[in-house]
Amino acid sequence: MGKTSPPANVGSLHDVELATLAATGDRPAFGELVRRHGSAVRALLRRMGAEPSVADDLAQDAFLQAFERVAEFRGEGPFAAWVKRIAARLYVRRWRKESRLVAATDDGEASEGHGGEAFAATRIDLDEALRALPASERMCISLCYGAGLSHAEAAEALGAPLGTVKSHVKRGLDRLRGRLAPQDGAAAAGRQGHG
Amino acid sequence: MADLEFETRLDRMFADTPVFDDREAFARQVVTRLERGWSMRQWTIWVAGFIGGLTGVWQLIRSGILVRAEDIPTEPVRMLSHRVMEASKMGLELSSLPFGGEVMWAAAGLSALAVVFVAMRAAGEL
Repeated sequence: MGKTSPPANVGSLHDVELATLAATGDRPAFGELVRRHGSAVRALLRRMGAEPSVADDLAQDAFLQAFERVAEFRGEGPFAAWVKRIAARLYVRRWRKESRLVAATDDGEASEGHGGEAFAATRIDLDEALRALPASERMCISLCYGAGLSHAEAAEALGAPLGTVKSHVKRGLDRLRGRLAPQDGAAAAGRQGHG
Repeated sequence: MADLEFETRLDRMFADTPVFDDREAFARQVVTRLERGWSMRQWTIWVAGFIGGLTGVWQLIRSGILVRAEDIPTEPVRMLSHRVMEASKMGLELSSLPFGGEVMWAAAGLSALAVVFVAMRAAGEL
């Protein structure tokens, strides 16, 4: 058993109970929360466009920040969603600092290297489809659907006009719909087959 | 309607995240950073409290508040303050002490340390 492996009683607790314990300074309880939701936060940051090592660093920062503010967590939503929002905002701040936002507003397709038809013909997962989006659209889609921010919150985090965020989301959705469509077709075919 | 379905599907896809193989190691790293940050904070509070305590003791001695405490008409307090006043005079006249001024200041430092320790314990309890 690892040195930081949580005790059995911690492992059986609900997220809200663990967060309550963490608010009293119980670090093993918080460690269990990190163990449970670390992957989700890291995956979101990667989907937003962060390099794996950057995503992991930022995810750690997000969890440290979450520990500082864990008393604010009221259990009104899932704990993972709460930390994801913190992590997403951290990444957006970094992204903006690196001045990618300005460049990204005019950037084209991020990577067409997959090839249009060939890309669509294969089974496409979300990560791959997101990678093919322009950075600004990928960011807006990830913020709104991955981190659960509203359009207004995403606009505020990005420091961009609400209309710009909405149009990025709309364009991003259209592109994703096109790229993810084959699965829909397969699902529909499957449903008909069972029908 | 199709839009809503697609958005629901997208929500589901975002929620469906892989579990990384190194999740235990990741959690350990976060907890280690938490522990390190906590230790740093405790040391910072300790050092700040120690310096504050020392400064407080020094100011107390220099301000002559112990001398004014003599005005309090209670006999034990007067006796105590008289003793402390004498001790503080000795502290100021370091060269006249039989055991050296360092001992006096070490005692003051230890007192300050005790105050800091009690304060930290109290903060920990809270």
